[in-house]
Amino acid sequence: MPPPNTPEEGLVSTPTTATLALRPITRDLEMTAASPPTVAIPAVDLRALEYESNVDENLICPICRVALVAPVITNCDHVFCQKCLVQAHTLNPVCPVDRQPLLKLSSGTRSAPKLIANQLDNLTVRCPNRPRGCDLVVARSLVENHVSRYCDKTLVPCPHPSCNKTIARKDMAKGCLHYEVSCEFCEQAVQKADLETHQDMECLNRKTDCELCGAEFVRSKQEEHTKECPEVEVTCKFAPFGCNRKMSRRHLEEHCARCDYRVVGPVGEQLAELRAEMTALKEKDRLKDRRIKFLENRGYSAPAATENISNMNLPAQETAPYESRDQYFLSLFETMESKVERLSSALTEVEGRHSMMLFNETMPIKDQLTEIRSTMGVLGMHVRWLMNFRLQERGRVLGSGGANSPSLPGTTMGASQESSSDSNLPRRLSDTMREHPPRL
Amino acid sequence: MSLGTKRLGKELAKISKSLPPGITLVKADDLQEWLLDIQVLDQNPIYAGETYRLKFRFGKQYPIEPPEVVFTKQENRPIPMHPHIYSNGIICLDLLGSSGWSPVQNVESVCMSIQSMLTGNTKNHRPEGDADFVSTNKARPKDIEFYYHDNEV
Repeated sequence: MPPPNTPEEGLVSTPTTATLALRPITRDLEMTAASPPTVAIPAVDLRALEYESNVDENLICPICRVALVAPVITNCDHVFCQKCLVQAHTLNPVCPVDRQPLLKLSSGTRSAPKLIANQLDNLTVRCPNRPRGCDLVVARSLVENHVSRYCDKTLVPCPHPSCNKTIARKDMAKGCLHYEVSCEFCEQAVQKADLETHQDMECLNRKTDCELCGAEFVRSKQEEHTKECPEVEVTCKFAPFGCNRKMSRRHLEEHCARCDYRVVGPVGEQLAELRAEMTALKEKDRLKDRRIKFLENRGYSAPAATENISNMNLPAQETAPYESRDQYFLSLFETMESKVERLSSALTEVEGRHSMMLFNETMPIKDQLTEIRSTMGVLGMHVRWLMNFRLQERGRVLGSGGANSPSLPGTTMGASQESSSDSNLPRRLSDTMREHPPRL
Repeated sequence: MSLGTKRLGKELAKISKSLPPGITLVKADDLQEWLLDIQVLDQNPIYAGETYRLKFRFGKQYPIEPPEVVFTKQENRPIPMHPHIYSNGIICLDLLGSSGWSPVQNVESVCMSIQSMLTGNTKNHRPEGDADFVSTNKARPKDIEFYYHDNEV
């Protein structure tokens, strides 16, 4: 039997107390989530409110980044708007901040401590009817009450039974105002209910007071007034020269009289003048340049077009584009020069071609010459061998019995005859050599 | 709806005033798509001197559901090398998936997470199967089921 304060006992008791404590709160949460607004006037959307001052970072819901609405706190001590947490929970059942599992919202959360709720209630907000003219700034806990009961700018259903539009509460007693009237200042057709806002905010023909000088002017003339209003802030008239002082128009004259830059002023003006002159001159220079280029181009192209007609004849119309005779001769000279140049280049080309041709032709001739020379050498060799052979033969014949010896000069002519007639001789070894004389 | 637009408006007001170093707002003309540039500020050689462009797209359920965050490639805005960033700009980060997202996160915190993810990286390569994934993937980034195979990078 464990003592009453053992861990087991503690573990069992903690959840029971927690669920006991949570029961009413969870019911409360469900109620706020489910119950529709019962009043006819739409309830104030606390998330859409504008806060008068910066809200403490600790009171801002980490999900929607506006001041908490109906704050709930998780078991891991993180606070969220109840709606935000419900939305986030449907996607991922963990605490959005530290990802601790949050299986059930009913058991994992409870409403935030009263301290937080009080701090939130004390935040000051602007009445949501501000665009319709209510400038009230009120604690957030009271804004709903203000809008739904007291704010006379709140839109309520039109009292007329057959009209389904809405109307500001203050005009309710006047009956249905949803008919068109024309504005007495600008003659624009406006609904009676909107007439006042129109005249206050939009109508351009309505007179208004200048915020700065208090003078009255028609609203559509605002720009004109700004140009002459003595209180409007203007820059010093020496601003282009470096004065960056700003003052109301009324003090401008006074300032200009002792502005440090007033000395610079005239110099600066002169500078500006000079600058303008310089740009004008530059522009002129550019034009001249263009003209020169244009003329140069024409000087070259005109003779080039007529060059193949005749060089020496000077057609009369050619002189026309030139302003003076000298110029014409100059251009002619230039044309000639270019022609000479072209001719000389053509000449070198032809020369080159010729030498190439010669070279090409001499090469095979040279080859053939060497071939012939070598064949001649071979032939000479054969002849010498044959002569030798003949001499030996003759020597043998002479030795064997004597015979008539043919004259020596005749042997060269009859060498081939000789060799064919001697084909059956046993010592004829160079037969093959004879039939296919070697070519070198 | 109203929750999302109101919150985005607040976020925009905040980040147009100040952002952490290395993060700059480029374009936020509407409450659907924002562009931000991020740089890695320490001397990580993989990312030194480079600027990367992030594109945020917010669904109607933001911030309950995560925004779609990808790197977009354009002239002098490459896709950073990282074993969890595919070459088409899709980022494999649990924070941007439905399970890892929390409505407490915001544009600034997402940017900082990505910045620190780059800062801590030492591997100069793409995820495995990058070419396959880039050529076959048609799904929107948040519908892709990533398998978070390693958590140490």
